Amino acid sequence: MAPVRALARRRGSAVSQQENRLAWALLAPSVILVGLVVVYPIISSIRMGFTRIPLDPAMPEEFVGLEQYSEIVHDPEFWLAIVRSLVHTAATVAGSTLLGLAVAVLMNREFAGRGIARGIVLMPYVAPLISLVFAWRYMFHPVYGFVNYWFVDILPILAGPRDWVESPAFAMPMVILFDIWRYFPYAFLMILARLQSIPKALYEAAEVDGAGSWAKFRHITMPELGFVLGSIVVLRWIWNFTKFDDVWLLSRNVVTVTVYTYLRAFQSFDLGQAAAISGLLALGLIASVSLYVKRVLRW
Amino acid sequence: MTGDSRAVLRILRIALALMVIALVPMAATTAATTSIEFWHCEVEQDRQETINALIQQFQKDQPGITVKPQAIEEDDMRTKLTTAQAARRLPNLVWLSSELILRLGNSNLLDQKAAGDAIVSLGQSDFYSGPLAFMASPEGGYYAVPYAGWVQGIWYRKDWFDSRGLAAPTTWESILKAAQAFNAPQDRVYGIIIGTSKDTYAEQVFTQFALSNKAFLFSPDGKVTFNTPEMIEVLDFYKRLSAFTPPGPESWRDARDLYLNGTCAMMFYSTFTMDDIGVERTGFKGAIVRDLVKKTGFAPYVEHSAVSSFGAVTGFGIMSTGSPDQADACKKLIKFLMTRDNYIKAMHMSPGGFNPVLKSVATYPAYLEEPVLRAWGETYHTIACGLDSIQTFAQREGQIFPGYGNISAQLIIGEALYNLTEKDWTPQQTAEWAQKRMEQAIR
Repeated sequence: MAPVRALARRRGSAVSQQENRLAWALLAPSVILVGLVVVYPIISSIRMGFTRIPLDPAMPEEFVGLEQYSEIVHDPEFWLAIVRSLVHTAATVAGSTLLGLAVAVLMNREFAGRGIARGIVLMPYVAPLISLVFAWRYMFHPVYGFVNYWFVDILPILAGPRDWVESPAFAMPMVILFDIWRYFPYAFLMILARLQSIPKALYEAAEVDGAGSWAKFRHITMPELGFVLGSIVVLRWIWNFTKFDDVWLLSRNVVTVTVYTYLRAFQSFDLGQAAAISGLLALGLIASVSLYVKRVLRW
Repeated sequence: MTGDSRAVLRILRIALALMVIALVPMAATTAATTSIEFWHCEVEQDRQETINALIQQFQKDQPGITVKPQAIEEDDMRTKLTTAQAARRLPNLVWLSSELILRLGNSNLLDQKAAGDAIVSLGQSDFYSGPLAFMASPEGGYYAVPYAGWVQGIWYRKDWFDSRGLAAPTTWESILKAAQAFNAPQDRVYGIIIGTSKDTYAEQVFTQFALSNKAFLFSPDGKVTFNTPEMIEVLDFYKRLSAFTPPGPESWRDARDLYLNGTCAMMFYSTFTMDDIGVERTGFKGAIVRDLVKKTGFAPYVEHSAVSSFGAVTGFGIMSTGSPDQADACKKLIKFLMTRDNYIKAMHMSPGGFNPVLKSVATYPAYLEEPVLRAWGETYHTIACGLDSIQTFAQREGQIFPGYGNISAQLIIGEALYNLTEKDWTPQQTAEWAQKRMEQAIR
């Protein structure tokens, strides 16, 4: 009997080995792809942060340890860029979430043409970025933009036209306004989905107890939305803090930390320093998001 | 289950084997020909079509050579080159502005011998000396082969100037006087457009004023001299002139748009605008200002304590990172593109914007028989002659300063002018800030 059992065990282990091999073969394309496009760039970027990379390929790269990190933290321009990024991120996260919440609450009511209205609200989020940027630049152009035309010629609120997008005084508020407008539909979509799943019975029970609109919003809607609002804020914070394309395309005069990194890499040709900044940013983001999730959201 | 997994493994093995078999002939074909990658900035559809047609003809004539052209937006070229350098994946041939050529040459990335050979094979004496000087290296050779050039100057509303009896805007005084006279912001009409953005256009306009005041960027021993009294005087003048521009910073796009729609009296622009202004001549019906060619004057130089004319030259650089076979293929392609008929086809992509650097082509009747060039008549003659006397910050009395490539690539002058005009910095403060940044850039 014993030899038969041993044979069966051997056969069993052969089958499991073969299945293991099959599993690896099936996983291999994904593992290779993730390795090439995610793991390798991360490792390469970390290595670059510690290396001075000459533009001349004939010259060797030089390991410089923490020198590039030290140069960055001693550069006042870097800290200014960090402050600009924090202002931009805080304003756009708060603005787009609040606007998304307000519009979602409005659009959750029954009214004629609700489907079309909901679709239109999504437009800023789904339209191609470059076409939006060009439209905004033309709208706010100092000479032939219609915003100046309205403010200066039709309703004479302003004495003369302004360059809303490029002048130092208005560039940052414009980029913030643009990003709030562009990203509120995302918050709207998430919040609306959650609003639709709140049981009506809760509101009916509150009405029986004599609750008004504000009391229902505060004591039922907001607690029910807590999780989704928390997720929107975390994701938007990560996305907007690392936002480059919107800022760079709309105005060349808002140097947030991502724009600063780009300029270090491609205008000063300092790839090593740019990689070091990216490393610092990643650490900063991980720390801030962890703190937020643990202390504020208590997840 | 076991049978299934065996079957899947077998299929995977067969797929892998088929891929290998498919790749073998591809590798064999690649080995039989010399393949070169060619980067240029002509992204417009019609220009790409012309360039690609020329390349196809070249490949027919040279069956052993394959050319892979890649058009890259001018503003993205720096980024692309830097990334390619870092990845050790540079192209073999580039068609770039002299500033980028200098930067590449300064980093030992260009094959000076190959460029010299190509110039000799085309006949060195046939080149205008101005464009050749743009591509010269401090070692006495050439970083690249000059190919096309343009001249910058003030394009102005001659009809407006005539009606007010004003002199052509060629001196600091006459430019300032005219800018002031025509500036009427309440009617959305502005005196002049000069560069005040953080871009190359601002640097190009400023250079012409600086050189007209003998304010050079480098001392003869190669030190940056952006904070000299001459340079500060230019910054002061530039700031005064910027009072007659539209609100906010301006770039080349604003210059072109505002001039074409009749809302500015003068603009600094390159000869590329000849085609824009002259479109009406070639059938465009939507012009806001009719007959703009007739109403436009061109002042190709600026005069103060010196006379300066500014322009740019683009050229073919052969990268030193390729093989000798690839360098040979690049030389053959350059020669093909600069052979008279092919050269004329390429220059007519933007008449007036692209000007040939070979005398034999610039004076050839078939080249001049082009509607836009004919429309501009005498003005075009001024431009063609101007190409030989253009100056930049990179040259001074026959000396070459390749460090300018780094300063220009970082757009330091553009940023300084933005700070000066938009953030209301003083000329002194601007000069000191830029001086420090430039010293860091060439360190």
